[in-house]
Parts: sequence; structure tokens; C-alpha cells
Amino acid sequence: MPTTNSAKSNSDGAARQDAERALLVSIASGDRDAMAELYAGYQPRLFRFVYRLTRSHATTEELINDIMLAIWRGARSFRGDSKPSTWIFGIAYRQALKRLSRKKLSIAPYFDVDLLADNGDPSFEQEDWVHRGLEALPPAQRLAVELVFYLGLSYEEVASVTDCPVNTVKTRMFHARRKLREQLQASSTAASPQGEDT
Amino acid sequence: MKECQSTLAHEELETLLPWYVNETLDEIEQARVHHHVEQCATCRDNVAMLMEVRRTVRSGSPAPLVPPPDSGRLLAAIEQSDRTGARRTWSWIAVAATFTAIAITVAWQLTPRPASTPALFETVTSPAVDQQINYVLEIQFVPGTSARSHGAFFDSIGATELAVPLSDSTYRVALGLGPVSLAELEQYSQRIESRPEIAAARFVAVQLPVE
Repeated sequence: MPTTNSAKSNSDGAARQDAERALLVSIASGDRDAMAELYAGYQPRLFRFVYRLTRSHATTEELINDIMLAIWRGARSFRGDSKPSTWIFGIAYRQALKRLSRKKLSIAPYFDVDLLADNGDPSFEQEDWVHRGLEALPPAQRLAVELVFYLGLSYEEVASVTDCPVNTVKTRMFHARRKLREQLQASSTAASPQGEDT
Repeated sequence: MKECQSTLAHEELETLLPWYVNETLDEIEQARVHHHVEQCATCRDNVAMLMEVRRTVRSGSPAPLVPPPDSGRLLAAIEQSDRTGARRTWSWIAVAATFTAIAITVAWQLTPRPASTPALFETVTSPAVDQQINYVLEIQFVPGTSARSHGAFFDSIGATELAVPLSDSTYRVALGLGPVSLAELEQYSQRIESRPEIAAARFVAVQLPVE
């Protein structure tokens, strides 16, 4: 069962947040070195997060650029009442949604399931229902799952990132879980071949 | 397995399961959910499923080849953005100033203002014009006063124009008094009213010459 985070990691996290807050203050005053430092620290995480949504290196790089410019222009609006990472990923979330909406693109498939289905990887069958279930989720629910399980955000943080009430976030995850459960059950039914009964 | 004791508690707590799994609940919530999960088979199944989802999401997708951060490119983009932003700001200021000027001009044109004051009125103290100003005095004679008396009265006050009769005993006459104040006009009408043949006298208009 899950356990609570250690005191040390909390302490490290608090120190990192303080450093990032200081960077944002400097950025707000036009410090480009601070911007470069923040970018260097966040670029890998942002890239992985955005790439999961777009599955395109070029689009991801463009989006990272847009996100960093939005941070540069909006640093003054960071009031410090949320974690810098929450604020930054909120910008990433909105920029990604905006881009996906503008290009009328759906969120990229989680996996090329058909391609990988025959690759002989024994772990794949176990994950198959998860991939299919995630792909079947509406974008808002899929993004909520990403924010909760990929970025590990609390429900308050997800609410802040998505600019939604906490209850909306909980409801999205509730429906996502229900649909994933349906996928799991469908997968279990399909995985009971007649050959096993004979 | 023991069924959930409280449907209400179950419904409330099962919405927290994703965050129980990602370990971001506070200690009290985490303990409550943990206690509930120990007793609720449905929630235990859901926790197991969500842990599988979490594991897949965190490690199951292909990791992209993350390019190294390119600060130079970012700073160049910022530089260009700032220049564009500054140009855009000045453009907006110029547009706003133009619209403001147009709005002020239109408002000035549309604002109702009193009719422009005649130049002659403004030069009322000019000696050349003073001669042309007449004050119209409305006079009511005491009933029964003869027409002859009326004529004698008009002569005595130097009426410059023939009196216009409004009735048998009421006339309006024009008097060339030159530049006088309202107080002087008031005194003048009071003096006239004090005469025995006059019932009432008051200035009702001023005649200004028209070019």
C-alpha cells in the first residue's frame, strides 16, 4: 500500500520550490539568465509531458517554446500561492490544449497498440487494457490521469493546473476510473479464450 | 470480505483513490482512505487497478528522445518576442491615441453648446453700438387716463419709437438708454411707476441691432 513521503524528500522539495520561486521573481524583473536556468531545469520534464500528448518532436519543441515564452511574459502574475511547478505545468496544459484545439488534433494514441500487439513482449498483454482504456478516455479525463499519475499531482494541484474546481477534478477521475474498469472487464472477457475451457 | 459499512463514506472516499495511490493526500485523508480500503473489497480492487494504471503511465509509454535544452534558441525567441511586443505596444498606443483624438473631436462636435454669442452682444459697451440699443418698457396706465396724457408721458421719457398699444391702457415703448446696468433699469422702472398716471412699468426686452 502507498506510504507517505519521507521528511527528507519534503525538505528537498521545499528547497527546490524556494529556488524556483526566486527564479520566477528574477524572470519577472527581466532576468534572462534566470529564464535560461529555469528552462534548463524544466525542459526535460516539459518535453516528456508534452510529447505524451502530441507524439511529435517538432510540435513538442514548438510547444515548449510557446510555454517558455508564456512563462517569460507571465512571470509577474505568479503570486506564489501555488508551487512553481504547478503554475508552470498549468501553462503547459493550457498551451497544449490550445494547440491541440487549434489544429483540431486529437491527443496522440498512447501506443501503437496494433503494432506492438505482436511484438512478443509478455508484459504488453498486461498493459494492453490500460493502453486501450487510456486511449478511449475523453481528452479532459486522459489529461487528468496524466497529471495524477505521470506528474503525481494532488487533487488541489490538478484543480489549479486545469483551472477547475476540485470536485470537477474528482469527478473526471471517477469517470476515468469507471471507464478503465470497463476496459479491464472487457479485456478479461476477451482474454478468456474458448481453448482454455477445453 | 466485508462489505462497505457506509455507502456515504464509500462514495466520498472512493473519489480519493487516485490520490491515495499517488500518495498526495494529507496524512488524515490517507489514513481514512487506508482504513476504508482495508475493509472494502470494491475499493481494494480499484486501488489495485489504479496502481496498474499508474505503473503503466509512469513507465509503460515509450520515452521520447529529449533534445538537450537550447537556451540560445529560447533567448533569441524571447528577444524577438520582446521586440515584437514593444512594436505591438507602440502600435496599440498609436491606434489608441488616434481613436481617442477622433472620439474627442466627435464628442466636441456632438456636444450641444449654447448658440454662439453674437459679436454685437459682446461689444455692448462699445460707444458705436451703445447708440443702437433700445430697452423695451411695458407701461400700464392707470385706467381712465386720457390718450393725450399717454402721449405727454411718452414725450417726457424720450421714447424713441412709437408706442405699441397692447390694450387701451397698456403700451410697449422702446427707449434708447445707452449702456445701463440691470440695477439702473430697475431704478428707472421704479421711478416711472411712482408717477400718478402709471399703474405699472417694467422692462421686458432689449432690442439689439442686427447687421
